[in-house]
Amino acid sequence: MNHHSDNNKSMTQLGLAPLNRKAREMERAATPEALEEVQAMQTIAGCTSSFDPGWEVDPFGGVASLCQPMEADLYGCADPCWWPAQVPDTMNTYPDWGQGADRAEDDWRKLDSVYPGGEQ
Amino acid sequence: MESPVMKRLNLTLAGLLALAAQPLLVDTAEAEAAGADEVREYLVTMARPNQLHVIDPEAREIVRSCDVEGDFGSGTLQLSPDERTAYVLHNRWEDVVGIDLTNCEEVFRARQSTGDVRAKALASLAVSPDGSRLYTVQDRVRLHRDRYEVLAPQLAVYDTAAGLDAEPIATFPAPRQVTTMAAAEDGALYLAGADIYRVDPETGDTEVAIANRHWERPGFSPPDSLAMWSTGEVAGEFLRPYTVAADPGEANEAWHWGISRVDLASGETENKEIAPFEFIIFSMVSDPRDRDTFYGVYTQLSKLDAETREIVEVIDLDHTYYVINTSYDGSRIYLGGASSDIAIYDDDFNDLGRIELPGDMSTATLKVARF
Repeated sequence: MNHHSDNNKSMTQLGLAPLNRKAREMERAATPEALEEVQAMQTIAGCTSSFDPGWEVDPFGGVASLCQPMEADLYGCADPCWWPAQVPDTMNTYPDWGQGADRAEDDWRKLDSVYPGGEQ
Repeated sequence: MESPVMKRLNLTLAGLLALAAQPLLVDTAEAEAAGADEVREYLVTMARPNQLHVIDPEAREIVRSCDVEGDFGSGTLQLSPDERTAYVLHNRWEDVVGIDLTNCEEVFRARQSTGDVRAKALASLAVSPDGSRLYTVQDRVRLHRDRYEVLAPQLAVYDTAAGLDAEPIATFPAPRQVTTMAAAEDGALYLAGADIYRVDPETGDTEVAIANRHWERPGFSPPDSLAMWSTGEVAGEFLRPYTVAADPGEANEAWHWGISRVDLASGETENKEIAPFEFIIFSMVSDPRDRDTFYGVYTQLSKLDAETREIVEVIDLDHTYYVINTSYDGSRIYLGGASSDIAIYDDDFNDLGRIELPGDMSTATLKVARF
């Protein structure tokens, strides 16, 4: 959220070194103009498109400004496919994840882990 | 209008079973006659698994719960001009369903996905000022057997009288990354994307109404904003808060809350910083009595004065709420979204109570309707 001034830097300038062929191609392809299209939480747009800090750290570098408690935020992160790495996305991939658990604060024990391909 | 009747019925059924049917009927008729001209204020929101709730904020009780066929999500709501019909983005962000708030009847449904094209609206929903048209911005993906093909987003125009199998009567190319939207009194559509766009829904002509990502403000960083909740009906505004750094990277770098706002009556636009950025705010509305007083919510409830650019008051809440609204007289503040209770405060932040819902509101809007 507070890295706007880095928007025009290349990945190398940001200290990110490409390790494989694809990463090197990305580095070559990513012009400053293209990087302009990547904005931290400018607006949400579905899966994996938001770059705001996740459940680990808040925009101030601490934890006090994370959603509290996390149960209040569970469906708010699952339904818009906000952080699909932390919470299964109910928008497309795991539509029935929250079935029978309408109040996360009470029903969180019913919410299970998910596995690629649906294998349990 | 119907809630006095319902309350009386509840009372009768709960405690006055000994009374004969005749007094009950008389009571009901009297209540209907007495309440016919009375306009009351209700809260309207969606909650899991699939219910639209109509809530009396004074009695702090649910007046009516409407089952809406399909799965929850996003719960984005817009009201018809007479405020008796709520349009909800539903069924995992794909269908738009119109529900009569007075009787739960489904009066409209548009299924945006068709064939192998999956279309979702990311909280993009608006109703024309005459109530005849409904607008969405559709983010579309063609589901091939071996790959997904991302299609260009489009603005879809629906006739609200089209019933339960509505198809777009027109579509236009739309900017990418649009979330919330609103229709102004002159019919212009405002879309919150990288910038705030003004769109003529007759022609699809699109222009930047307020530059955000593309603003040219020396000494300021690009703004950062979140726009997911379509409130603003009380103050007649389309509002998007943002955070911004003044003098970014300098010793005197300072972070601010700001607002981009469209006056839906006049079409006037403004963009300005209103207070220091000291805590997160997910949604914001202005006081309907004072356009420069703003209320914001997240894990804190705050009052911001844009004239002095000060935080007037801030209190910690018992949990995070996503969406904020106010009563039409400005005396009450309503907090919803995220979890399963709606909180009510007065304008001095005195706690006026909670309304428990059977399911989480998640990303749903909290609307204020009068009928």
